[in-house]
Amino acid sequence: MPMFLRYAILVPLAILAFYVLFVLPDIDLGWLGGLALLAGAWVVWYLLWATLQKSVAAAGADNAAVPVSPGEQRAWIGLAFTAAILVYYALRAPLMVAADGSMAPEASAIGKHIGMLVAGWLVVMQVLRRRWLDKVEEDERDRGIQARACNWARIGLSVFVLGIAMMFAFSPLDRLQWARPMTVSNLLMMGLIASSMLEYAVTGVAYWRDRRSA
Amino acid sequence: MSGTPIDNCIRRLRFEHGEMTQQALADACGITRQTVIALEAGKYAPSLELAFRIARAFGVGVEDAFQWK
Repeated sequence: MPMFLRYAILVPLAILAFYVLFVLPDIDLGWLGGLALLAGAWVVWYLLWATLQKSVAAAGADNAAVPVSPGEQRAWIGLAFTAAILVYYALRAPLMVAADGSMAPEASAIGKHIGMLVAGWLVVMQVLRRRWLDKVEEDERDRGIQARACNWARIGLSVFVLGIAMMFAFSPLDRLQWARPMTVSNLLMMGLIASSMLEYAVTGVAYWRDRRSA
Repeated sequence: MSGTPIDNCIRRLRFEHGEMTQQALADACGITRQTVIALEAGKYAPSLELAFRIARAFGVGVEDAFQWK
């Protein structure tokens, strides 16, 4: 099957699997249904992963093509996972706030889902590191790109924190009714995840621009 | 990354050294192949240390491998 067709099928399916597993409200499908859903989602993600690896390997084998470096792979994978975590967090954050503004009981289940995503990310990175054992993973150019991306993330986080501080300092109290402890906690967490996502995005784009113009 | 004021003749040196591949040069210098590609395309200016390593891999002086434009 042509590579573009595989992506055209697998990318929407992978997003749908993420949506069904993490975003849709929990539906009781029984243990067999739940297991089938989970297995189906993992199969789709695995196929997408294998297709990506095939593309990377094909680019690496072609001496004339510019291969995707370990640093760039790390950046795009980080971007995908932080974006997934941020979207999930943003969609589920209201459920984490109880009526009195404290932590709702649903928060622990949501936390477990986020933990699952982080664990999946760690597993993917561990598998990649094993493949890179005989390769140079990063050099001074990679460190330069990372330093620039880190600066962008720091600026983004600073702007976000300043914005929140200004909003709290200058808004009348009656317009801050929404700012209950758990809501503020969620907001800060999302800012942190977004700054991390920005760092991965800037890193990925820097590598991609270099590759495109080489 | 914009162009740099440092020119280099890494590509020529590679071909003069038995058509050394980019990967072989990268391995000899402890860098990634993507950095060799960026250097050859004039998109990246190496540190002094890396410039010495590259020149040494070809057995030439730094000024034979890198020139100020």
